[in-house]
Amino acid sequence: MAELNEAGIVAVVEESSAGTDEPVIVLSGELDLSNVDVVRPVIEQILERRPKRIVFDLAELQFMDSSGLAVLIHAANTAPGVELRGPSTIVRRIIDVTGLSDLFSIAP
Amino acid sequence: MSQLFAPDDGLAQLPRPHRLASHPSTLAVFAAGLLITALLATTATLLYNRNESRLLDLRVRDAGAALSGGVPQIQMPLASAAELAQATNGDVAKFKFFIGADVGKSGPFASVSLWKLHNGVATPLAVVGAPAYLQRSPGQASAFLSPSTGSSVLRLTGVLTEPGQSQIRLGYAFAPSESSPYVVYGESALPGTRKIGPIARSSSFAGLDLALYLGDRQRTSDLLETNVSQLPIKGRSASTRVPFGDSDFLLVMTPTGSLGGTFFQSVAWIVAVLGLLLSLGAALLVERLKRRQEFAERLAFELDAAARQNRDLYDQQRNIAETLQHALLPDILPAIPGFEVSARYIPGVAGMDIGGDWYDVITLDERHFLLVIGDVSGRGLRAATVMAALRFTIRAYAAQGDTPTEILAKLAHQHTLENDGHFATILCAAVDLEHGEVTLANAGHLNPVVIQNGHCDRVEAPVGPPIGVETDSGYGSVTISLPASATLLAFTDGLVERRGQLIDKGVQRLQDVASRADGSLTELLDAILVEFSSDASDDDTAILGVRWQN
Repeated sequence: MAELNEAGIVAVVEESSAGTDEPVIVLSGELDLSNVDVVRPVIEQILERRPKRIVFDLAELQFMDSSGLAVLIHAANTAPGVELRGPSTIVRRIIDVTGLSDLFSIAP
Repeated sequence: MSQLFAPDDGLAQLPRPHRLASHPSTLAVFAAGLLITALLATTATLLYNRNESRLLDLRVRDAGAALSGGVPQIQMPLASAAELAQATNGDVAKFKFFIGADVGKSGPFASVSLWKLHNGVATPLAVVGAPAYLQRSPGQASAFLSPSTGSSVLRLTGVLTEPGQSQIRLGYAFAPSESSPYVVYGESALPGTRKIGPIARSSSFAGLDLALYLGDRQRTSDLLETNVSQLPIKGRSASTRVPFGDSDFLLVMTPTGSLGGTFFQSVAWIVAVLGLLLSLGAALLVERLKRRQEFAERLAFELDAAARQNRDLYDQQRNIAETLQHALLPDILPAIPGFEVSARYIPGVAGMDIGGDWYDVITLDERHFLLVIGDVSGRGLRAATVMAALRFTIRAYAAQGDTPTEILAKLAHQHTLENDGHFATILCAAVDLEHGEVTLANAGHLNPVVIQNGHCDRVEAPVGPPIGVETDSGYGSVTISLPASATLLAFTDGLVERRGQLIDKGVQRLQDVASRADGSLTELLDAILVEFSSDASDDDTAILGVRWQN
C-alpha cells in the first residue's frame, strides 16, 4: 500500500491489492496540478507491471482537474482495461463532459 | 544558547563590522557606569571621612578630658605643701614629711623643693628627691619663682634640659598668696627622647597616635611626649588645648587606623571595584546586544532584498508567461461584415505557469470561417507549445478545407498524450454566414451556449474524446441554424468549473446571466466576467463570442 499524504497533498493513493493482476488504486481528496506529480510515479510503477486491468477507487475523490484526468487517460492508454469505481456525481460529470465515458468502464 | 545560524550558513557570511571597533553606545554605557561609580565612591569616601573626623574629634575631646583630669595630681600636692609652708612658717621637716609620698617612683614628681623669696631672690630651703634642674642657675630660679609671689596660680617653666641627663623636666611653681614668701617648686621627669611606648588598648588613647606639646603651638622644642616618629603630625588629625596652670597643653592626635571600623574604610573601594565590574559587564552586554541587533538588521535587510529580488523575478517570469500567452492568442480578430466577434482571456490566479487555453477565428472566405476554442491539460511552457502546435495545425487543416470532424480526427491521429505529455479538449465550429448555419464538432470540450430572444440554451453537440486519447472512436458533428441577432458563446472550463460543485451548476449560472443580459456582445462578455469574478477559478478562462447582425 503506497500512501502519499505529504503536507498540502490531499490525494492519497492506496494499492489495496498489491501483487494481484487487478491492482486497486484509491484516490481521495482533490487531485490537481499541485499534487499530480506525487501520484503519477506511483501509478507509473503499477503500470510497469503490465496488469490486465487497473481499478481506480474514486469514492473518496472530491475533485479532479485536467491534470488528474491526464493520469487516468494515461492509464487507459497504457493498460488494457481501466475501471473507475464509485465516482461522485461531480467527478462523474467531469468525465462525461470531457467525452471520456467510453474510455473507462465505470462502476457505480 | 542556541545559534540562530550555523557558522557555515551562507547568511552568517555577511560582512561584519571591524571586531575591535566597539559601538558608541557601549562606550556611553561604560562612561556612564564609571561616572556613577566615581560619584558613589566619592560619596562613600566623603561620608567615611566625615565620620572619621567626627569620631576623631570625640576621641580627642575624651583624651583632653582625661588629660585635664591629671592636672589636680600636679597642682594639689604643690598647693597643699605651699599652704603648709606658710602656716608652719617654712617648717622644713613638716614640708619634707608632707611631700615625700609624691616624690620619686611613687609620685608624679622627680623633685620638689621649698623656696623662700626675699627681695627678688629665691633661696631653696629644702629639696625632696633629685635636685631640681632649676637649682643650677640661681638667677633663672629667682626670675622664674619671684613673679609667682602674689598669685595663687600654678606656673609652668618651659621644657628643662640638663646636660648629661637623659631626662627632660617640666617645672611647676606654686605660691599660696601675695603675702607668703614661700614658693613650692616641683619638677616631673619625662623621657629625653620624648617618646612613649605603645598605648594600651584599654586606654582612652587606644587606636590613636599623639603628640603633646606645652603651650599652644606644635613646636619641637615644646614637645613633651609623642609616639610618632615624624613630626609635626600630618594627615587626618585633631587637637585640643587643655588649660594647665598659667599655660596649656596642646594635644594633637591622629588615628592609627580606621576609627569606624575597617569595613567602612573599604566601602569606597568595594563600591569602586563593584561599579567598575558592573560598568564593564553592562558595556559588554550592550556591545553584544548592539552587535546582535546590527546582525539582525543586516540579515533583515538581506532577506528583504532577496525577497524583493524574488518578487521581481516572479513578476518578470509571470510577465514573460503572460506575454507569451498573449502572443499565442490572436491579436486582432478578423472583421467580418454582419458578424460581431469578441473574446476574453483571463489568466488563472494560481501559479505563474502559462496556461493552455486558447481561441481562434480563422477566415476561410468572406462568408465562411472557423471558430476554435481549446484547452490543453496542465500548465507550463510545454502545455503552451502543445497549444501553439494544435492552433497552427488546425489553421493548416482549415486552409485545406477540412470540416471540423475531419480536423479533429486528423489531430487525434497525430497527437497523443504519451508523446506530447498533454491532452487537449477542442471545440471546432464552422460558420456559414450564407445559410446562417454552424457545424460543430467537439473533442471533450464543454459545449457552447446559444442566446436568442432572451433564452440561453446549451448546444448539444456529440462529445468525442479529447485529443491525445488513444481510441478509435471518431467525432460526430451537429449543425444548427442561427437566426439573426443570435449569439454563440464558447468557453473553457475555467469559467464554469468550481471545486465541490457540479459543472452543470456553473453552466446554468452562465445561462442565467447570458439570458438576462442585453446590449452589445462586448457588454455581454463583461457581464459574464463580472458574474464569475466573485469566485474566480484558479484555472485560466477563455471566452469566445460571435453574434449575427442584420
